[in-house]
Amino acid sequence: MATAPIIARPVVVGAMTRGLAIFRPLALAYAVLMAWLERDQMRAPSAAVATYAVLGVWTLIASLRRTLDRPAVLIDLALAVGGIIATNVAFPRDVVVGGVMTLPSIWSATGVIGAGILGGERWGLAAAGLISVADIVGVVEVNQGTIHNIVLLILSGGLIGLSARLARESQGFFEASVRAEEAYAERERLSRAVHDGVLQTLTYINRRGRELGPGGAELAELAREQERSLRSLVTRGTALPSARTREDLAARLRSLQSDRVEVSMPAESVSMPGERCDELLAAVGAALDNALTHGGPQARVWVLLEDLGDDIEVTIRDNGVGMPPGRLAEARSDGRLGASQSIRGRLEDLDGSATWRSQPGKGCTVGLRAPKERTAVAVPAKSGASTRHTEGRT
Amino acid sequence: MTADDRTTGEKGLPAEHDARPVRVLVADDHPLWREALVQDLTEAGMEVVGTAADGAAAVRRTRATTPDVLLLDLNLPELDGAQVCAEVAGLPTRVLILSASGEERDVLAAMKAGASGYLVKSATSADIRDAVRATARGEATFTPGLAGLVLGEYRKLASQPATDERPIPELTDREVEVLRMVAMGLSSREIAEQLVISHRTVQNHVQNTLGKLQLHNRVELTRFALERGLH
Repeated sequence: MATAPIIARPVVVGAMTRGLAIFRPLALAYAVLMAWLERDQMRAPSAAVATYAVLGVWTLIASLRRTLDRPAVLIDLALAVGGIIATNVAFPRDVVVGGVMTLPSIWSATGVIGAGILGGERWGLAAAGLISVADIVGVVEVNQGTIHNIVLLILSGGLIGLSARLARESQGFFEASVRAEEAYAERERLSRAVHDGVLQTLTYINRRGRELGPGGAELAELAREQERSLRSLVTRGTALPSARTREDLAARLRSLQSDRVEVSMPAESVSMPGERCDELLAAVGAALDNALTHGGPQARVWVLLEDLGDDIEVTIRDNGVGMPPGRLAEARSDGRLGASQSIRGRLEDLDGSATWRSQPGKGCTVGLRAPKERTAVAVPAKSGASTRHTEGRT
Repeated sequence: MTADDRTTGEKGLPAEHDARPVRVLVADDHPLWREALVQDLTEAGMEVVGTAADGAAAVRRTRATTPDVLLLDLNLPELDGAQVCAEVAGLPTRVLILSASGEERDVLAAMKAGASGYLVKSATSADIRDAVRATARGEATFTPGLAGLVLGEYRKLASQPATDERPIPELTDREVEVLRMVAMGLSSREIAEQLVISHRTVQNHVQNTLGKLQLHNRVELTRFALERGLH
């Protein structure tokens, strides 16, 4: 009970409570007026005066308290039942059976409405039942007016209770989702802060480790690797994964960043259809593997992504051993298809092109250019499959 | 961008052969890092005129000491890198951004706000020392990543509709060529060799690309302020 989450009072429930506070004195005034019109039929007007005096005092107290709680509802209900019984004292038997209004009249509904607002439709219906029983017992012979009143009471108790409960529940859901969202944002913020701290420390270990000599160098290398992989994890795409149909090429290229690969790109995301993005990424991956395997162990690779509006261009450059002129043509004439063929095939599928530039000892530069969107002349979706199996043979 | 490049900066700031050591202010919120940087720079013969652990202090101390170089961590409490750069833009002090987390957008914002260079913290001590000296000489320190960002920024600007009132900065073909080469990891020396131009010319091209972007940024900010003030 004590651990129940604090849920703010929904706007609808607040409005209902204020409405009830206005209804109470108005209903009393109406009841007094109705009784005044029937004053000639009374056998004991003092009973009516006493009843209205009590109801008046309570109505005044209730409007001063300005809160709707369980005691208030219980007092409302008790006074309504008392007022209904007092009707039998104020009026002679035949007048009561003849269908005169009870002394509290519509004021009886306050307890029913209050119970509904506080406890939902169950309490609203229970309160309506209580007042109905009092009505039936009071008049002994049930007439049409009594049934009419009972139906109205049950309707108002049930409906007001239902809407109050639903309003509370949706407020609960709303607050839970706001809390979840806040918790998520905070976790994001914390993880960034923590990551930043860890990154700084790893970078520091790397720096200091290298200055310590051979023993430290190993430590430095470990720290450096961890730092790189953590950094690529932290900076990897923040976009929601829902839009599988389009993807951010920039975010996906960024994840290729590693110890030996440096990726440069514009600050904005580069949105492309998902399958074109996959195809292009596979081509970049092949070029990257080629550069890392054939460039020599010391080779480093730089990847540059440029957004040219309708087209995108990815350039992959390594500083490895490079290749002598004509080597590509030679490889092709030898029947060795290899990475270059696979890359070219993928780019052709994308209506793009691939170029190679290399000088011995100066590394190799691969340029990939393709339109972002599929062009009007449709390319069969699976035509890329024919080149896919050649991947890896270099 | 290496230690043996001895050119005097355009603002007449000291080159290395001058008697006066390079004066540096180090702003970083990680004490470990700050101390390591101070030690490195001091050992390399530079004068560390002060340190700051947050953005506001960095601005105050830069104003008070006007160092040659403010070595600025990108993510400082209170004021971020771009805000600090904007605050000290009127001073002769040049800002070299040092960042651990490689947040591209923030780096670009700081560069547009007036920083002269950018280096990731995983760079070696020697790289950092060289970059501080180059910055003091008035050279722009570009990483391949930064070159990619600047290229992207120009392309974005070019895709916006140009009007007579709003001239959009453009790169010359040569500047695009140089920036692309920087983005692909070539050093200034390699670029100079390939394009058969002097190392100084390469530096000028790189600096111009940054200068035009910063000027455009200042003009836009002023225009924004005027529009806000007049309406």
